[in-house]
Amino acid sequence: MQDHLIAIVDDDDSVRVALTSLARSAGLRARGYASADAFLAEDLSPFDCVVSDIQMPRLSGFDLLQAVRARRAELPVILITAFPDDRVQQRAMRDGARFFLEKPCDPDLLVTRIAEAVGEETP
Amino acid sequence: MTRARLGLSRTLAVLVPLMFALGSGLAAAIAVLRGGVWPGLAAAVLAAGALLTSFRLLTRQVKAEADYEALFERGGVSLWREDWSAVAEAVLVLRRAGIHDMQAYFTAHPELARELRSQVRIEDVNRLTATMMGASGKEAFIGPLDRILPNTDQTFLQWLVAISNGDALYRSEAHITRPDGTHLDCLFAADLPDTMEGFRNIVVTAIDITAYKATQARLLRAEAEIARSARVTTAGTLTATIAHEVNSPLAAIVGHAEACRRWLMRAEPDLGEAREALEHVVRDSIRARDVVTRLRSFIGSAVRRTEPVDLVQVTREAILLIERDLRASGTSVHLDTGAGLPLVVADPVQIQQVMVNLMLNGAQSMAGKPGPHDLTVRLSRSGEDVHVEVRDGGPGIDSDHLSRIFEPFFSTRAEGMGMGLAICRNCVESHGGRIWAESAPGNGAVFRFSLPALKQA
Repeated sequence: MQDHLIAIVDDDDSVRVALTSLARSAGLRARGYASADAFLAEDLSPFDCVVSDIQMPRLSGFDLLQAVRARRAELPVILITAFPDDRVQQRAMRDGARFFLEKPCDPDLLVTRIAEAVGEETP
Repeated sequence: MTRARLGLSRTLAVLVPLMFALGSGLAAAIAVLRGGVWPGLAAAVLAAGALLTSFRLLTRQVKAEADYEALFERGGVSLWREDWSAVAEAVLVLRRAGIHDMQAYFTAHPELARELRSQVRIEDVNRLTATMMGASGKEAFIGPLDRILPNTDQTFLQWLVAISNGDALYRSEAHITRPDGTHLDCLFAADLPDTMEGFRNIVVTAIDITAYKATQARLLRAEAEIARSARVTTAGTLTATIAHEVNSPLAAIVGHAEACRRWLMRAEPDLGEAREALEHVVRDSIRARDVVTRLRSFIGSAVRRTEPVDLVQVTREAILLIERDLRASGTSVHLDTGAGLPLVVADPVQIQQVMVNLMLNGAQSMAGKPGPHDLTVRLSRSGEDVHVEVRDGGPGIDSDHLSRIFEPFFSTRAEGMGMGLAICRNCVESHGGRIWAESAPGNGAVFRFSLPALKQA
């Protein structure tokens, strides 16, 4: 997993810093973005996986997912939410999210999911 | 019936001129026999006058009787003639024995109140009463009052208090049972006599207010439902807010903690990264604590709307609110309030919720139990506090459970969520009060709470 680049998108500073740190501690390269706009302004080609919160001002995690699917459909997106009801989960999976996690998520599980996502993308 | 109503004085009013006429007639006859024509004539005129007066009085009395009959039968209002003399005498005996607070006395002795109620006799009712009550004739009503007033009736005590106080007018709402078993809400009013004799013959008017009461109850239920849904909505929003505000720092904490573990678990542990992750853990923990503090002060200020509150009024409204539930479970509430109870500073809605909760708990504890379901609510002053007691006649509370019943999610009922008493405790304690329960096994449960009395300026 050494060279994989992960994007962490969360408007909450402490969560973003924590997840970025977690990804780095797992041997990944990670870049944090405070909003979906900021991430979508980037060239998406170097990224191997995106971890995004759903509830964010302006563009939500669903908007981000849609934009990624349109621009680079093979880039796996993991959505995280503090409001995990069935409809949200169903929508996330229907819209093509690779994984759906409840926040606060088990960090070990997140690392595993990221590994699975990037492993699948680059066999 | 009509003859029995002939008063002694009115009988005398007719008899005196009649006797006078007889006397005068006799005098005229004697005068004529003795040869005195003029005295005889004078006596005869007197006799005739007296006879005429007597006849007029008699006519007037017959007309008065007819008027009374017409008024009683065709007045367009339900009228009941009742004999309350046994009750009036019992109240008099109690007062002579030094008992003046009938409310307190009969609240403590509900069985005596029941016994007295069976001694009130309905002597007569008019036709309209029979029609209103859905009975075929008057006969169904003649007899003891307790056949008509159910055990759950609250108004009999009000009669006792009114009679004891020497009130000139009695007025109250009662829930009565029709001969066919259906129920009717009635507004009863009566002019109370000031002599013991008068209590033998009290005329009570009754107005059917069933429809009015049903509307009132619907309104109250609608209000309660609005208040409840407002609370639920607020609670829902609040839960979402708490979830988000608390979950974010928690997510950061677990993330940093796991990162820290991974930095340390590496073949070459990265102590700099691990230390930085731990600093974040501390910082985010403090943030989570601040969120809880902010939420607490937010909830505290948003829900509390305090004002001087009369607990007697709050209790009466609470009883009205659950009147239907109480009646359905056959519970008789006996409200005993001391005079001159001080006000308390409280959120009236919250305190009413506490009263409703405790009374419904008490009523439920007696469900299915044979015999009368008496629930006694007593309000009294106790030092600087106002003290509320809710006593039921249920099976009581196991001593093992007694210390736990106020804990959240603790319930002895299968369908109970176990939040009622926890909420009660939270409400009372946030008002600076205390709540506790006592129970002697097999002798019912007593829930008590006290709130600080408003200091008189």
